[in-house]
Formats: sequence, C-alpha cells, structure tokens
Amino acid sequence: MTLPALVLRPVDVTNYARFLSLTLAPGQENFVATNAEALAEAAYVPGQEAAGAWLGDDPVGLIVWGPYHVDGNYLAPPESGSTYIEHVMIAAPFQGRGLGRRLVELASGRILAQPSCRRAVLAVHETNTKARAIYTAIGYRQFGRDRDGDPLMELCRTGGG
Amino acid sequence: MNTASVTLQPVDLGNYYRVLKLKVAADQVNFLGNDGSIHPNAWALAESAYASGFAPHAIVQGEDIVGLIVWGPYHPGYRFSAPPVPGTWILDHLMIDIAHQGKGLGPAAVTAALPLIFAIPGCRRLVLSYDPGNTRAGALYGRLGFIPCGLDHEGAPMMELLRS
Repeated sequence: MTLPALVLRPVDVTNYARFLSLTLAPGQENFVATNAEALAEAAYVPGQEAAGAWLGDDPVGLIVWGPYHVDGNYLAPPESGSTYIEHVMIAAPFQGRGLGRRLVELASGRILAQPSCRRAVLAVHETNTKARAIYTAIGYRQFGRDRDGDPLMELCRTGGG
Repeated sequence: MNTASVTLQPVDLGNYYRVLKLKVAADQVNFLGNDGSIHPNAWALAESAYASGFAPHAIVQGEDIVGLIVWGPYHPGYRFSAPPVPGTWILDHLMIDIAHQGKGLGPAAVTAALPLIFAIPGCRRLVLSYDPGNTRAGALYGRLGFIPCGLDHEGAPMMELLRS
C-alpha cells in the first residue's frame, strides 16, 4: 500500500484556528481531549511541541509531544530519556484511511531521532481498541498503566541506543 | 452594588489547568465565539498562545480562580496576517465561572484590567464585541464607560473605551 502523503508542520498563528476547528467522530470525545485543550496545555507545559498534520492543503489532524512527566505531574521533573505523546487526533472526515498510523509513525520517528531520547511513551484509553491496534502495529508495547488505569505503551529506539 | 474585588494573575503552568476547567452555563456557550463548549477557556488560551501580544489572565478572588480575561492587539476579523489597528487593543475574552456569576465579578475583572491595558505603551483605545444574545453584556460595559462603535465582522455589536 502506498503510504498517505501526510506532512507534519508546526502549528502557528497562520493556521492554529484551522486545527481548533477539527473535531472527532461522535463517541470519541472520551478518548482524547479537544484540540483547543491540547494546544492550550502545550502553551503552558514547557517543552511540549504541537505538529499539525496536513494532507495537501487540508489540515487533517494534530499531534502533541513533550517531556514525559509520570502521571501528568508537570510540576515534578520529567523522566529523562523518554518523550510522551500527549495528544493524537485525526478529524472525523479523514478517519479510516491509515492517517492515524502514519501520523504516529512520523512523530515517533522524529521523537526517537532526538539524541537524548531512547523511548516514546503514550497512554491509550482502555476501550479505544482501534488506537491500541494501530500503536501495536507500529511497534508500541504495553509496559504499565497510568494513574487512570489506562495502558501505557512504549516504543524503544532500536540499535545503538 | 457592592464593589467586588478581584486580582488578575497571568495564566501559567501553576494555574492553567484550573482555568481550563472553568465552566459557563449551557445557555451561555455561544457568547464567547468559540466551539460552543461549556469550557470556553481552552479555545481562548490556545488562541492566546499563537496570537502575538495576547495576555490571558486568571481572575482570582481570595483562593479561588473564578474566571479568565484576555486582551491583545486589535486585528479586525482576527486577521492576524495583517498588522493590528494602531493604538487599539481588544478585550478578547471575559468569562466568569458559572458558580461565581451574579456577584459583580465580571465588571470587577474589567475594572482591574483597564489600568494594565492602558499602561501598554501606545494603547489609547480598547474595543470589544459581544454576542447579540448576551443582553446583559452591553449594559455591563456601558456602566464601565464603553460606548457603542458599530458592528464587527460577524455583525456583533462593538463598544469602545478611550484612555482617559
């Protein structure tokens, strides 16, 4: 299968409003925060980085990563060597085409390319079976649970690390 | 009316989460021009992160964070690609949590913000717009000295206050 031509670009003043307007499919609201919440948080938590996902001229999703603070305790120091994927979303009209998988693959590649980073970490809602299958297919493995009881998954750098 | 007293604190890592969780009533969700959420502050804080010069402040009474107020350079129609109107700032967002409404905290917050806004070098005029369905807003701002100045890009009434 040809990989979707998904491109990651920084969220900025020229495009942020388009990402604020992206919404999930009904029933998915409990799986992820809104993009407004994710971008607001990224503004205040040091080190968080928001990347917009584009398919041609269309913004189709959003991903945010940053230092891994265990259980979201941002006032404590982050865990060194780990980067946490805070937020992943593909807007409802663009779901079902493999874009979520491609988005997480692209971001994971960038994360693990940082010399100081040896693993990418994310939490997934217990009942979000589609997301868990996507992360597993990319190579993420469960290593624990967060304070909400949701599975924590990690993707470790291979070779040399 | 008793004069309610509030202080304003810049939104930061220590308080942003509490600001995000503040709520408005179900019949107020369209007043703040965002995604129709009962948590309207997420949109405002996200916008403030990208719009140059926007200054989100938590509205604090005693130990409680009771609301959010945001001002910034005035770009008509939110066209941030164009330069702002010289000398003009906009009161972009004012919300008081549903649990704290009806105590005069909105006017108190604006009263606390005005000296900060007019202390910005070059700022001589503050504008705002409000949802036409928000019948109390026009009267509230009128009592604070704002006067009507037309309609915004969406046809919402605008008001202005000149630096005294």
